[in-house]
Amino acid sequence: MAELSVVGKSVRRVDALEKVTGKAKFCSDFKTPGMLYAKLLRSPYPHAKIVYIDTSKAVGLPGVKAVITGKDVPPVRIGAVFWDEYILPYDNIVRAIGQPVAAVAALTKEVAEEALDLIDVEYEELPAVFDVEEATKEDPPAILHPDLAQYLSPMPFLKARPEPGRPNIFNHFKIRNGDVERGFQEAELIVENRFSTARIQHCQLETHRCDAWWEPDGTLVLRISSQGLWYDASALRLIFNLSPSKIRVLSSYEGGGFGGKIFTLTGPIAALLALKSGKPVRLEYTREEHFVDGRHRPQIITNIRDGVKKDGTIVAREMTISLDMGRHSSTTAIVSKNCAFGAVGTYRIPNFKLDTYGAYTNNPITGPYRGLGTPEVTWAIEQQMDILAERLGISAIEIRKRNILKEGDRDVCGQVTHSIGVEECLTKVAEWGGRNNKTEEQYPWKQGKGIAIGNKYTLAGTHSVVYVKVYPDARVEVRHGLHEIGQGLNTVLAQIVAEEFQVPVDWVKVTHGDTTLVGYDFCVCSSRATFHTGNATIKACQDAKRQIFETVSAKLGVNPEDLAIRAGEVYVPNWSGKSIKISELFTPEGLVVEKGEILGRGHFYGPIILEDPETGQSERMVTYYAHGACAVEVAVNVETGEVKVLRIAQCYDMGTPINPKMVEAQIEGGTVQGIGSAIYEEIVLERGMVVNPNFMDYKMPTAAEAPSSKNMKALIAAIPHREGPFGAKGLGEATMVPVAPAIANAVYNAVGIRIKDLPISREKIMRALDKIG
Amino acid sequence: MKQLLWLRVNDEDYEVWVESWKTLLEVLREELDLTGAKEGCQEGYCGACTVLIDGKAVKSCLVLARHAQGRLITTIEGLTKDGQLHPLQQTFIDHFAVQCGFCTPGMILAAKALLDENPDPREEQVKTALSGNLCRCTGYVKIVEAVLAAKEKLPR
Amino acid sequence: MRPFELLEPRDITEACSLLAEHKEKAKIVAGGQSLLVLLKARLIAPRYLINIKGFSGLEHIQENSNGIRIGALVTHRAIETSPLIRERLLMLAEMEGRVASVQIRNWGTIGGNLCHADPAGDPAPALIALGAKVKVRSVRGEREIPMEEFFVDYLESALEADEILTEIQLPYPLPGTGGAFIKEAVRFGDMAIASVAAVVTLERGVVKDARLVLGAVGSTPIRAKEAEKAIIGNMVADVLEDACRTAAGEAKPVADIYGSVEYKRHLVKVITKSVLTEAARRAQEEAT
Repeated sequence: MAELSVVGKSVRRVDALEKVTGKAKFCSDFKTPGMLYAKLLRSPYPHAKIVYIDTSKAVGLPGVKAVITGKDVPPVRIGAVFWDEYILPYDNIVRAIGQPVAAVAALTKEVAEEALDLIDVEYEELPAVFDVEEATKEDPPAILHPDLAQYLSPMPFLKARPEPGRPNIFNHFKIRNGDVERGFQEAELIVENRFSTARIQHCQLETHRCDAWWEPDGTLVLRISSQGLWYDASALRLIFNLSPSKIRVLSSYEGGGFGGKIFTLTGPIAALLALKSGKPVRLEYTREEHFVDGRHRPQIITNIRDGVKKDGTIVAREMTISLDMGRHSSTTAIVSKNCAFGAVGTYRIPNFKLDTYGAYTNNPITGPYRGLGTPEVTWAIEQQMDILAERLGISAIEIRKRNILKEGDRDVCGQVTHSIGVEECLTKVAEWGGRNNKTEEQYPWKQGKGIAIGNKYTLAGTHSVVYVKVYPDARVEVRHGLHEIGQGLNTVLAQIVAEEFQVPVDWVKVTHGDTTLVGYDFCVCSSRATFHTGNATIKACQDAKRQIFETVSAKLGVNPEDLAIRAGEVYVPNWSGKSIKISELFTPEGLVVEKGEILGRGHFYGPIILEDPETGQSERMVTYYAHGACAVEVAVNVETGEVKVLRIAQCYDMGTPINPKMVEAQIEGGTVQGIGSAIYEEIVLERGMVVNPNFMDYKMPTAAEAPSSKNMKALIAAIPHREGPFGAKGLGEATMVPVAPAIANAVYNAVGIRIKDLPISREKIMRALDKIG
Repeated sequence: MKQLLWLRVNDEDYEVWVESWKTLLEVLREELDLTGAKEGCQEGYCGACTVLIDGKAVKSCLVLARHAQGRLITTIEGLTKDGQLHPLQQTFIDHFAVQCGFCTPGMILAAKALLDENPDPREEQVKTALSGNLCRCTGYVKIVEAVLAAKEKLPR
Repeated sequence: MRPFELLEPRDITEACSLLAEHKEKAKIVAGGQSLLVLLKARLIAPRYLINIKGFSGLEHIQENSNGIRIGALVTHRAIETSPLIRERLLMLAEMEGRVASVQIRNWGTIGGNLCHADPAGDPAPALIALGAKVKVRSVRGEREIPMEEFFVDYLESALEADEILTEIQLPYPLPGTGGAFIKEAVRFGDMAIASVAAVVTLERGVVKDARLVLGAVGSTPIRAKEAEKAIIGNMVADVLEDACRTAAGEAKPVADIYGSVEYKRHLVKVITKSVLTEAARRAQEEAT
């Protein structure tokens, strides 16, 4: 391949200047004249029937312009995958504390808040279930969705499959490969363990928010902090029964996504208030609302049973995974199936049985969280691998290397493995970890080391459409249908365009965030954007170049295939003859006489082969996997139970790194988020109520808790992917995956305690050390 | 009932009519269109609302607008002088310390307040000085690097 | 937050009159770092806020022959960085360095912190251990309250409805005195899970006087008097284990998301050991 000039280089982010000067606009930075402020009244009960709601006093409060309840909403159930949710309780049932029950739009926030106090609601409490293992029984303490059988699941590649006889399970996904019973008979050691993860919250610095208004011609306009404009547009269309051309969704920059901003229902509520009041409506979640109803990473319980040979080869693995999805399936429905891929992408296992159960509970709503279930499942697998290694007397590294999939192997879903750099990643972090950099150990701190590996799949079956426009001054504009949530997508696409047109990156403009201007794109999720939108961008560039080359070919009398373009000039390579500047193709008014304009379009589809519902087998359920490894050194305070990360290294294979420094930034961000999930963070629930819905009591790491730069190492060991743009895959989520189990393994190495239930809290350490109680 | 408030922000004088319960953050964003300061938690924890009052970092969501009258307020919009970026703004760009950008204005101002008071902080001091500014995207590593790089560019 | 009227008296006398007039319907506002959080959460809804921020006469850190006086409006940051405090009452400056974040410390006042009376707050145990007194004022005159009598219950101070805290008075430590404050918190600036402040005075290596105060393990800070008795008259090293266990026994923690009762008592034991050791070391250093 020819030497790349822009791709693969750490060019400065194209949005950095805007952001450091405060000029970058986020959702609430826009002003809409005449805007009203919305507030939501939320259920105080985890499961209850609404006997009556009286909004008359609220309606009568001066300054209140609209009040809506379940009876005002379109009687349409929607969902991201499994359609089980009314935007407000049309069915008069609330299923979690914090579920919105009514909404108010008023002239000021203060009036809106006061109006909520004036809404009278009488509830009849119903039995509730909070524990997912209780909820998944045949005869659970409460059934959340008695009409489950009537719910729709229209997306073919993400179909929810309820479990007959177990009324709270809305999705049961299976993988069957080989014969686990036979495998266990062949095994020389069988180990079984149960692991669980805690609910945690994304803590995007920008909470859920949107503005909605209706144009005179009946077009609904929504400005929203989101990860999927098009997903939001389809929700609005379904709920309000609108023609697709009557919806416009806008977004600007998002203050963080991490999976939590895909398909939330703030838009429809604001839109309905706007419809009723005739004014634009702004709905913003307070931080407390965001902690309660802003979506949690679901609790995932993994039971894992492994059969191995004495040399460490895994011969059988059986996993049962239960997910506490909360009151509605939401976008987490995706997680209820796809968490399984965490158990698929890394290891070669001849006999494999896996069942995932996505279940309802009367806990708050959940949502996809960086990793979509893979970190939680990896929490189990990577500790199990260490347990097996210890029992067999072989090293943690050896047992992993023995079982890692190789290029060309079939994984347990029947897919052929391609682009798997995990072994190199493991070698690199192990080498870093092995270096004798040990800090002096001093009582009461005991030190230990641990490693873990992991993968992150990118789902298959999604589309991206991109437009590329060439201007008379040879600047190029790329219009994409996704979002810049901080991951650096705009920069990546600018680099791809710059490479395709051989121009400096600052000749490229990136436009996003308006469904009237941009093409369809699934959403920012599953680490898919660089690959899918990147590929669509290349196609769009090629289409634009084709238009240019056809135009120039006529002018120069040269075949279009012989032409190339660089720095705004079209030329014939290796021929010092004629060349034409882009500007020469345009009239002063900006017209290209032969073509009208130069506007390229690219459509990329990552195909899917739907899996067999009984065995989960498919040659293509996943587009690619990113792979990585983590090595960590911790210190455990045996007097207080505090766990500190002393040093940590992470190495990833994300295919070709389009921008190495941005890759490093993703690794560092995922590392600290992983450390947070391992040691510090937990949404504490008491009978469905979030006990710590604020930053004081929810312990997201600050700069003081983060490792310093000399103690954190981000490494790359990339294996190009044959289908990726310039060989790139994706990385956004993978960087969190192995961190928590690596820390757990290190804690075990330090003090001989294995914590199987996240987080690794001080109290758990102290009790396990038998120092208290 | 609204009261007249006189505010000096980024060396410019503003007169606004605001209710007594309005915070400085609300007045900056809603009355003065200075939307660089962000609302992240409204309880003084996340630091996205950080501005400088008389050169000291404060959380503007916990400052009554009335209390800011007569003080010198600096927001992120006031950092660029004559088209020149402040060294911190430049190093944040150069060191990839920006991702989603929501925490960035507050973070830069908190860092500026640190460097103005202590021109030669150690890494640990930078980390604790920024412990009142949450960031979920970066993991803080490149932010700290950017601050340490900026200190080299500023007069001691 | 619910709307309120902001009253702006010119001085402390006028502020006292207003407070006497409105009593429970009003709240004093200085930095507002605790108050505004309560207002925004709609946990309280006073009709009036009486502003005392900016009052001259309440912003001093001064020494006289008896000791150091700190005005109620002095910010945490001013105490943290004051050369006088760092020289004479180092543990106070050190304690302030981990209160919340620098932004909160720049604007929040010591008076406001104390009147908020959060038992997990750091200044209270440190000030009690240092033998502080507060001066409060109302239309009825002035009175002094020993710091250890200032906290009545969770978020409840000994202030009458019409009183305003104006000053904190700290005696100079006696020769041979050393003090330290240590807290265990999850993150650097977090509220304490448990904290201990210790001030010991040594005479020829033997403890002549000791004040040991536990924070965050009761509805108010707790003076661990039994533990103090165990220390006085002995060398710290000889009675350390006993003192720590006794102090842990005097704690009255409540189980919450930060820990069980047993864990918090255990922390008190662990912290007391460190803080007494350090206080004694500083006392020894001071004596030499």
